[in-house]
Amino acid sequence: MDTLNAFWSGFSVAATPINLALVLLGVFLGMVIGVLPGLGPTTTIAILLPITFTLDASSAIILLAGIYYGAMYGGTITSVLVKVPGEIASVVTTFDGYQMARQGRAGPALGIAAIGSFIGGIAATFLLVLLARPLAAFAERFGAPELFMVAVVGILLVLAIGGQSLPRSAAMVAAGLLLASVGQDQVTGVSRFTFGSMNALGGLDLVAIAMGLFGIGEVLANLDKSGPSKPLASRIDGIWPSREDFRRSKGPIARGTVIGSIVGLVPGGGSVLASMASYAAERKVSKHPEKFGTGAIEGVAGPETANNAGSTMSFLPLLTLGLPTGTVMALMFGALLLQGVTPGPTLVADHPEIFWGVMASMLIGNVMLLVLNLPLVGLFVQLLRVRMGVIASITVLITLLGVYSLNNSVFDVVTCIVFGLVGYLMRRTGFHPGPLVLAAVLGTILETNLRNSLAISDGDPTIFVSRPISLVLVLVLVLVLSATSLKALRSGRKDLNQTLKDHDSVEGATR
Amino acid sequence: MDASPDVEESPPGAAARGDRDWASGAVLAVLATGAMVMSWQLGLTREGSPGPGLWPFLCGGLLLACSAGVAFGPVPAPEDPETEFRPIKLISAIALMFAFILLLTTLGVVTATVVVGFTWLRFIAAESWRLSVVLALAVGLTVYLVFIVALDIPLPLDVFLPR
Repeated sequence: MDTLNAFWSGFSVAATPINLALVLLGVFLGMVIGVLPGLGPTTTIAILLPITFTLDASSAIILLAGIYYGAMYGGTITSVLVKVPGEIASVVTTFDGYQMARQGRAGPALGIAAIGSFIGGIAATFLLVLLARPLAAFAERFGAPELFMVAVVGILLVLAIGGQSLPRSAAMVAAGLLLASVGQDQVTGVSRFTFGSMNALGGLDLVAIAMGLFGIGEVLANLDKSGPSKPLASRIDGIWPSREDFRRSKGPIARGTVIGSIVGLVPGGGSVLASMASYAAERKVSKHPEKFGTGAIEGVAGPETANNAGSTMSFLPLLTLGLPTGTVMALMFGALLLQGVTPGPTLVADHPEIFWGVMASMLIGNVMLLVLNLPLVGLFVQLLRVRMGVIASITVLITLLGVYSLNNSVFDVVTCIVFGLVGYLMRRTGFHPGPLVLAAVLGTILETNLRNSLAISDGDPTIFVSRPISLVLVLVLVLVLSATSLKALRSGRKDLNQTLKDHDSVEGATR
Repeated sequence: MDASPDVEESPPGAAARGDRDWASGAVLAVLATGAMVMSWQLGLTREGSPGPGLWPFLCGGLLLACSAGVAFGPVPAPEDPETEFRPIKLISAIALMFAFILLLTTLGVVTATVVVGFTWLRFIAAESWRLSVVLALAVGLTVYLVFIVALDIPLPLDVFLPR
């Protein structure tokens, strides 16, 4: 009952005219920018972060959350119409969504994606509301060793489940942690890796780094691409799915909601794993799995529902444990820090207006997403025609102005440009900037809690296995490490066998 | 004849699948070693407690271990094979961004936005003269109205414009 009352009180924050306008603006901006070629939710949030500086903390996070799910849906539009997923979670949508568009059914594909996203988002928001308080109450028992282990396990799960090359992602995590240590040491006051620069004493600005890696890096990478993608349809008629479409989508939407709500909680899982798990589940339960990949509406409805439920649920670890479970959540974490709010177990109690306000705004935002999407889809289709060069010039200007306005500092802008170049080189050499930003955000938390833990135990590292919660987290860590190593070993053996087989066949052919 | 997706060519600069990525591994190893040496000099312990160099030393060690994994591990296939390395565009883009800083701090935000916006649109994006001029002026006007008039952000303002 208390929870429901608290949730209800969130509407007094979310339903103020300014916050309603911000949700609307966020969802609309997110959808518009998410549709523009080359800009996914992460880039969108990164370049729009400075807009939030003039707002209070709850309004800032309400706006960013709106941008997030707006941009996620923008990515769906490009997945269906041009087979270009706005972000990884929408990759699955290209399998059947694009095929539906080729058959002249882009409207129902986008319609069912919007309806599924709406249902998934609403259900996940209610689940989030129910789980938040118990989880935060449990997490309040965490001391420095537990907080350290939670962050370590979180990063490790992101690496293990993220689906990218493990050594490369781990290298980026290490680089991110090193970046976080630039500046004056908080305990001793000694300056680290500043090379005599007074500007670097306070550390490198995380927002400048993120805007460089994602905004400028993406623009520079797009300079290498040849031309814009052509949408399959110049206008969309009949977005509302037929009765038969609804009948076929009921099950996938229900299962997608459950799968997304569970998987979204896992660090590294989020919307990506949720949409993939949902697609796999739908194929498994279908009487006609062979139809998947040829334009089956179930292959759009399930994953899109799970995707939105998963992205909603990923707010839970951020707001209750202070654990960003992915890159977007790391940016949200950064945005809250900029507002002077540290996400963690005490957030619900210390800043109820932020927590419950954001929860209530999610419900409002999901309604707006649905309402905006249906009449405006034609406009979004036209946006797909905007050339990359035009988008790039505007993105660069907004990004650089945004970074400068952080602290009116030329040093921040130079940092942003340098990290833009780094981001570009990373993309060309197969490294992803996500783990780097995540680690840069968590770096200070990890270091502070490690040092506090060692201070509590007089330098004895067994403190991490002598406390029950921390011991459980160590066991989870060992389990994840063992499973990941086993998987890598198996895949290495498979590759070796394949190489030997290829070698034999080449030798056989040349003999 | 259509090319099979299995035999797509890698873009220049990216190694083909199955190669070893020695270059990335070496760069990371050098960075890691540098970080570890500097951290060591900062001090790993101080009066029995963790020193300022301990944490970066551990991170450097992790990076060094990963650099071996990167060097000896397989190279992932390029995300987007339809890319072509364009060094002149890249260098021009970066130079233009630095020019933006210079113009912003000397002449003001609107001039910087219009000049850099126009140059980017015309010479990097290869848009028409007319579109480049119109769009650059429109972006400059929007920046003035949003950043200066509406949000009142204290950006360096051009002498000919009122705040």
